[in-house]
Amino acid sequence: MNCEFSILNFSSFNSKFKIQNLKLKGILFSAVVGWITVFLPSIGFSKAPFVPETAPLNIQVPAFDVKTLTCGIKVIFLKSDEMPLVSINLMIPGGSILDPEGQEGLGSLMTSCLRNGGAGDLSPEAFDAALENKAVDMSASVDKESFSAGFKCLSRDLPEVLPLFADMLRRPQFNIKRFETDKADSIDEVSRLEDTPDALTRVLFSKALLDQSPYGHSASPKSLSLVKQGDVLKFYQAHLGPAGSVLEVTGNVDEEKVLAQLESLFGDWTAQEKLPDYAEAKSLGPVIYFYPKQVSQVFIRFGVLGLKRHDPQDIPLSVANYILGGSGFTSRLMHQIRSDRGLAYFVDSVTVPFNIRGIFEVIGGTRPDSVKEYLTVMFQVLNDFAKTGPTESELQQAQKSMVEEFAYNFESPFALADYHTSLTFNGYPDDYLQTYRDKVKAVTQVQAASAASAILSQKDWVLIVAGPEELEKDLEAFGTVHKVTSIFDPLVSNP
Amino acid sequence: MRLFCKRFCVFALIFTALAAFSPLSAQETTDADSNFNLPVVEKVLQNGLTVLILERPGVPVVSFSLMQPVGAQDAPKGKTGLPHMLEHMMFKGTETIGTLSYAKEKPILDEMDKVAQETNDENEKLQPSTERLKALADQMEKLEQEHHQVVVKDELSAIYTQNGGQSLNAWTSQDATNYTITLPANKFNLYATIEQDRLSHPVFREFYSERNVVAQERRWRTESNPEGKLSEALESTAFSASPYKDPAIGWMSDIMKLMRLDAEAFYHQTYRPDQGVLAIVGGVQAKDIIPILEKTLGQVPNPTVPPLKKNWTKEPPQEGQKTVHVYFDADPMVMMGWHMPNFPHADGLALDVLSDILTTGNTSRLMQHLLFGKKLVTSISTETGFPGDRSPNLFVLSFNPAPGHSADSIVSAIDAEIADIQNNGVTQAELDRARRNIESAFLWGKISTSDLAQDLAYNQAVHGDWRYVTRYMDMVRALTPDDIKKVAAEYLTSENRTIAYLERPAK
Repeated sequence: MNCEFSILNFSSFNSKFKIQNLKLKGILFSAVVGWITVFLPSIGFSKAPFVPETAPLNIQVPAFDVKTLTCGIKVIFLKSDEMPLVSINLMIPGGSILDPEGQEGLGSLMTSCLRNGGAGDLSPEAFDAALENKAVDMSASVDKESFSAGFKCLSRDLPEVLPLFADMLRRPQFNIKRFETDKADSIDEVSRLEDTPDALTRVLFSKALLDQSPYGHSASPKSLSLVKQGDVLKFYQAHLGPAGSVLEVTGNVDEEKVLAQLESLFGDWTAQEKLPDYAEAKSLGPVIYFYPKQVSQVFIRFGVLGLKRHDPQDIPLSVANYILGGSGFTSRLMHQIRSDRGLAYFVDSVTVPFNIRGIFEVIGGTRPDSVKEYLTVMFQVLNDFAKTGPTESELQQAQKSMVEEFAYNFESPFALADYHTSLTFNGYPDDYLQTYRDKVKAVTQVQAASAASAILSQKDWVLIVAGPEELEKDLEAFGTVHKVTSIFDPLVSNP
Repeated sequence: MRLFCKRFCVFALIFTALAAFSPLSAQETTDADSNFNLPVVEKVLQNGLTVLILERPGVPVVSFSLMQPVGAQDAPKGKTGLPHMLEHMMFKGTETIGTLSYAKEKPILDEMDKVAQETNDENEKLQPSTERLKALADQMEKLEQEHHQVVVKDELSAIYTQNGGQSLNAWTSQDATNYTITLPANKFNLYATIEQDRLSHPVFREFYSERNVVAQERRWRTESNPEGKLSEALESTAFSASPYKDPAIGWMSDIMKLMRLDAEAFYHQTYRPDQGVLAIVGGVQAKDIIPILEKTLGQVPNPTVPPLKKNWTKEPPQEGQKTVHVYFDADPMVMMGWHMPNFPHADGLALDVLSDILTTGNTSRLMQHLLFGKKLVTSISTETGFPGDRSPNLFVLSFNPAPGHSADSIVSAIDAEIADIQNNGVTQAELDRARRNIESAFLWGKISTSDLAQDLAYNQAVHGDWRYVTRYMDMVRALTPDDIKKVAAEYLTSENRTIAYLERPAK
């Protein structure tokens, strides 16, 4: 509910792969401890502020204790006794890419039923009560490439809650009544995706860019309506298990005791089916999909295929993206589109790698009568960046920002453990956190430019626009436009 | 959709803040623990700015929340959204940050104000001249190009970003305006110095292009979003006299005629160090930073103009149910709001707990009966303190009807559930569970330094005492099942209710 309004859309700051380009004309940064001038001399008004430079911050990456259960689950402990709290999170390889064709949304529905459908000897109602009487927040969810399950509780309750967690994961009941409710709720939720331009363009973007791949599929009311209780059970049995899974335990715990309990609860869990290999997705671009919707703010997504996880270009592209559209107020896109012209409230770019090639996306919105100008400026900024990359000064400033903001990962042990666990789950080296800053600092102007150029020079881009009907003719100036009447229909491609 | 209102946030501080000074073991935490000694260092600087410092040793970052007890409800008549517009302008720099030469820039800004005023005057005429408006728009564009030559875009943000600033943002609610940032802990001096300059010598440059940005924000958040539209309709229908009837972002026609001089005048009336609060949470030591604060933020002068007098119109009692229908191309949604008292009225606390009993978790009444049981809704939630909590506000219940069920049939089912509580009350077990939920949500929702800083600053600036952070749970613990029954009967009545329906327009 919108009772607060911000200077900037907060989502702009949420990606690990984002932000920052800095044009600090006139600001002197000193490498040594001392006083530095923050700005040019003033003329007749206030004096320029002075900031004392401080010694560099020494950040120690804490020791994560890593153990492996007999079943193969890797357990990562980060002990923190500051608070009487524990957070547990399990990541299992798989995700919505495993949804069978025609039953898209099955993985998501399975995770809802896992939590809501009762477990072990407990009926759904009794299971809910067992958790909620202790204010335990337990959940299960799905992402494109993973299933997650976890909970948060007071540390004194952990010995009693862990068996409930194991029951949910290993002995779910998938109660038929709860299945029916979860299915109806899921269908309703999916059908509401067409209600907002943001959500409906997200679905279309994924379909258009990751065509012919399970990575681009999305649930529809029809695909969900075909799912039966037995399908959920079968899907669960085939795909939930310990192989490749990582369990994070953070907080006020006795590691030995927790490890022993985990071994007794999960040690004999048998491995799930092996994951298939996925071919690279293909874009339907160059193409424009236009969804007519009577709204006063047009939503626009532009994108191309991005990088595969662990691509050597990963960090150079992150740095380049920081400069282009990932750094909030100070990015090139934000300067040109918001600050200079007032064309948008927000515009940003993100790079998201998958186990196949991921996505590179520019997201923004503008009023209907300025769509043409917004797109012209956006294409101009992208083309310029693809041709010449960042300036040396932009690069240095971005590197400094990314290195400095690294401290933010250490704000709380819980946030740090979440981040570290996702790195481990996704196969990043153990010393990723220790070496990240040096890798960012080592990126050269040529490397950043080349990473940006390789991505932005791709010709098969997709552009998704949702806005009033009359926009269609404006969009034709930018390429072939296909009108979409339902996000659940297959997309028409260019001949 | 349930949101814990800001006063809720405070309890989490009890645990988290204690963590910094007196770690609790799990064994030490019992339901009876409530009188925590929150180790906040409180200091009033020489200019009256209240500073709250919570040290968290070993944390390599420090979060700041600079809160002014001025919000959207303080906007002058015909200038709704001005406090929010001012918040945007505070990112535009100072006389030395964001410009190549303020001396060269100032005459251009003054000229822009004249053109903007003439544009407003022309638009106010019964028959505005299109030619005149076009000429003024051309003139403004020319001035903007000229201004472009001397401005350094977003430089204030760039300074912070380059120094590792995260969550550089601000928000305006009905009750307060807040400026946040989290920096590496060794950048304290940078913050103090930049903020001294920002508060002492702000320049509201690029005002008229930023006005367009705010208009875009309104179109995006409110006009193109079914939930945004519905909640705005609920506010403006439920309140007929209280300033809460106007949206925090402002009405579009007001936004588009806001003037830079309005923002300057409002700034001087309302952004006073002696009314503001700065909360600092993170890896810093109070003894080290207080002298720096005295030399920097402590030097920001209080304006010579008299402060804005708060004179909010009180909402009269509602004497009959109101309804409003909003047409939007989306599946149906319903929001209903009952008037309730503002914090810290004891009835408000009882309504907080009732909200939890109704919709938090699968075991809550409405989830059990209406979602899992009768399958009338696909989602349902409640919240208190909407759209603010410094003035009497609303207890809000929102739901998405399940296909095949009319909104009114669901409203009747909700009425029956409420009647049951009004007649038979709630159980002690329900009350205990709600209390534990509230405690837990506080605890987990607020472990970050940034949230801690905002909670402290909000309670001090808006409620007058950061100690509500620690008192809130004591107040909740004192409630009995009868208190819950009483507020259900007194407030959740049809005469006191407004219902907002979102419906798809007929094609």
